[in-house]
Amino acid sequence: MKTKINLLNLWALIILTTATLLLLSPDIAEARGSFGGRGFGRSFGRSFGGRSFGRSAPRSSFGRTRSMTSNPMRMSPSQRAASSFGGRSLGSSRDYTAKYGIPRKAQPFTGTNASGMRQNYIINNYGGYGNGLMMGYMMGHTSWMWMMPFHPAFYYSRPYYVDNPDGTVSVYPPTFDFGRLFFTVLIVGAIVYIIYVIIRNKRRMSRGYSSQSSFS
Amino acid sequence: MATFAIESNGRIEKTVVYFNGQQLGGIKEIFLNLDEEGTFDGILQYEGTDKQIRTKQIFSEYLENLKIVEPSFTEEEATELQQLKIDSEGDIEDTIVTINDEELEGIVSLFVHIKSAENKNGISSLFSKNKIPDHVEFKAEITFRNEDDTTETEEIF
Repeated sequence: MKTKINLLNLWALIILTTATLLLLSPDIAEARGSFGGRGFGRSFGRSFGGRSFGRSAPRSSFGRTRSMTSNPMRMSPSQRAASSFGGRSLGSSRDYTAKYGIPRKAQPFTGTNASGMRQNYIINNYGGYGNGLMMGYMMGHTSWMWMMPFHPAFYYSRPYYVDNPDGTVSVYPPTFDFGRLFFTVLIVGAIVYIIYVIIRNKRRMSRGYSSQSSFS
Repeated sequence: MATFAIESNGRIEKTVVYFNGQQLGGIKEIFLNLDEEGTFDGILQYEGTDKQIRTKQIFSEYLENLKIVEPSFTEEEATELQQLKIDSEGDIEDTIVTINDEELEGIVSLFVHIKSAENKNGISSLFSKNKIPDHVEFKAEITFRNEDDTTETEEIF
């Protein structure tokens, strides 16, 4: 009976661990792709004008035909922006402003996107914690702790962005994700409960059948 | 003469053992097999105060480091339980069996086997491959000889 209970507890732990990993997996995947360096303007690829070992001729952008397979200029602003800060695309600014109102301030910002190209952003400031997070994502000042349930940033979404017709990208602050909070409370609660039950059963078994028995 | 008593309702959760009037704790197994032919096995396995597991003959060996505990039952609670008491010197000729303070006569044999399930502690028990748990053993019966020379077996608890 005891072994059966222990096996059930073990299975429950495995299921909960899997659920936690599934919950975190989108963030981990995005974190791997987008972040990892500190400071503004993470460099992607090699710098131009550099010299590769084993080559005699210097590299140049001139005098050759253009490769069509990996042309950063052919990417839409959203493609570039998405890999820049791992945000969520919105159809239009109204999707955000209808819910959260007009921003306090909209300031232009020029950054480097994932392709290493210069990109003009319009950062919409709403103030508060979400605003700070948005700036952190834009500047590349993120931390692995943001993916941990004990950090408030874990419960916020990624910044939202909208591709403007003029080629700029409007960025909106992350919003609080109640669904994530709910599932985290559920999973953490379940883990705590399972640990409590295991410890309680251990104590009971070590104490004996009950206080009314000589057997242990 | 040692006095060994078991008070129970037939379930191990409510079974207490006394030795010379004192309630014991840390009992693992009791095996009593007495019959009129002279068989006298009174074995007790227990965990001592030094955490050592010992197996002893109840009536003929010294039970060292016995774990003495406070009484579990009040007198009122004890009235709902059956008490088997054996006073003995270690041989069948000098053994008195009583149930609820009533001395018994005409006993052919007495058999008691009570064993608790083994507890495995530690993290390793979580990953134990042993899927068949130890079962609790609880058997206690007395066989009497009636006046018409027939025998009758009764459960004690």
